[in-house]
Amino acid sequence: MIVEHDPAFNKGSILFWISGFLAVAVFFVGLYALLAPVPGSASFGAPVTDATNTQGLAWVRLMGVRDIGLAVILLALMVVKARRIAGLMLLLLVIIPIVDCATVIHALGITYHILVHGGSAVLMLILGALLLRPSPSV
Amino acid sequence: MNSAPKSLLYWLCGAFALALIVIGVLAIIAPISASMMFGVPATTAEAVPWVRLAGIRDIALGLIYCAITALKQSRATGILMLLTAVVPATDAATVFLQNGLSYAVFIHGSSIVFMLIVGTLLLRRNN
Repeated sequence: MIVEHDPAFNKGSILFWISGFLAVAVFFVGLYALLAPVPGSASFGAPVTDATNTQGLAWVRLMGVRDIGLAVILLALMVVKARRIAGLMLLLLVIIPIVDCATVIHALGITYHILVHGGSAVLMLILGALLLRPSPSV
Repeated sequence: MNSAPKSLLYWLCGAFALALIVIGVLAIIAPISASMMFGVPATTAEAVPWVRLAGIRDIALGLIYCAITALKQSRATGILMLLTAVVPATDAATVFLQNGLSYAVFIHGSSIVFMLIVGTLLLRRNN
């Protein structure tokens, strides 16, 4: 069953560490957007340059707290060793970096930011598929 | 794993997840009107992409709640509800700081109350 917990999904598993890296990275991206929306939005690839544009900065923060929420969900699933649910979740979440890519292309055109968001999409697809397997070997 | 008839909490979680997906879709296809309903109108060209970026994350959260509710993981759903109550809390604070006490603050506030109550009830029923 997909809902069974996997005792082997712990710090002896490479997939566990990659999931943890992804969760912590997303958490800090969200925190950066929340605390420093001007540089946060620029490093994301859709800059809000005008520091007096409070509505723009507010929406960067609103996006940031959602990243934090998603990272906390992934960490919680790791804590309860729900490996396959974490995998299912990552596959569902691949829509986020895809829309991020599209948004950056729309805002700035093709830039290196595309590689970061595209890389996230690829990582989430591969990691999600590996975690979702009935019995992983790594 | 609970194979009992679907409870009220099950349908509440499902409705909540669907509402979140609808809100996210609205933010992506009509960011300006959606941002007004949200309580922080985005009228500048730099702000509009961020409404969409927040919207896709709402859709993703809605999909997670949908999946975990459909799998009848009431305990996990409860934990996720309580942890992600930080999202409407920040929403309410942002709307309040931006436009003061408005109707939208109460909408976000009621989301916090809903998530805390449903999350607590989901955790209690397994203990």
